[in-house]
Amino acid sequence: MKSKVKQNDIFNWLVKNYYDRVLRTAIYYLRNRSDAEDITQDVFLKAFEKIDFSKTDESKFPILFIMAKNLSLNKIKSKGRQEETLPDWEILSNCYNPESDFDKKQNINEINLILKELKDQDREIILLKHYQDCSYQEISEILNIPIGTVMSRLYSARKKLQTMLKGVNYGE
Amino acid sequence: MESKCDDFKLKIQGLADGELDLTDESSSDLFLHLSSCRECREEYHSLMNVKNRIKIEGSKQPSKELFIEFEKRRSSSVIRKIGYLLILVPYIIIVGIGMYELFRDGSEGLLIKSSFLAIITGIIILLIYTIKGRIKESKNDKYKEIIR
Repeated sequence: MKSKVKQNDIFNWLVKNYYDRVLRTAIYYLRNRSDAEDITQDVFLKAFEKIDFSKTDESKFPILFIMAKNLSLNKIKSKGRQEETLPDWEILSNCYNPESDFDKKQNINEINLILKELKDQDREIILLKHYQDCSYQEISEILNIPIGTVMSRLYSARKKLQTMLKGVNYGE
Repeated sequence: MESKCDDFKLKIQGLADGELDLTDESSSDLFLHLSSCRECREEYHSLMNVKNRIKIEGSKQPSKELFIEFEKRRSSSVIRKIGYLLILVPYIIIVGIGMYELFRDGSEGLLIKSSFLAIITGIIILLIYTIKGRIKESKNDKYKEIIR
């Protein structure tokens, strides 16, 4: 049995390392900050009971991501229509300050429009890599596909993204 | 881009993502190729441009309430376990002794004995039903692959 001090240390470590990414996942699905914060709290409290912490070299993000996604989708199902819907620039950034740079907001809004043009499969892998900052291994676990497939799928999705970005003068 | 460059495209992506295994022998082939191929260098810079363009900045820290809630849950879980133990253990002992005394004592009527037996059977049936439900639930548990 883990001692109380050790349990606190493990929990602090888990939260410190993954809080921001889990919150981003919940915000992406819920588009509502207050609900996303509640879901993120739930994810960590539940994850602590379920995660195997003996495997220290393994990333805990894949399971946290799946939990955050499932809990968010359940919340949407139970709550129905969202009362507050965050704008795209706030979903796809950590610009929590509404006064943030106008150019930055515009850039994110344009990128989001491009992302919407991508196929689901391409958008999903781009978001996991760039928005969730996932490693190839983490993406492989989340999507349940081999690392080689992650690399080729990511490559192809990025090529499409690059072409589209060039089309709106956001390329090199 | 030449077909030789195609062999390096995923490695260039790996380099841009910081996922290239530098101890791998083929990595040195990539660097050699990059030093002589302008198109592949451009490919690398182009990838870095996209990465920077959609880079997420800043981070959000958790509120203190999360840690307070965690503390509360840990404490209440221990107290709950102690509570269950304090209720269940004496309860099982008392019921066991009662059953033993009831069936040993020949003066008690058949009606009382059979009623008591019916209560115990009912409890066992409910217990089996609950355990079966839990097993069924765990089979559909989306987190069952995680060691608890």
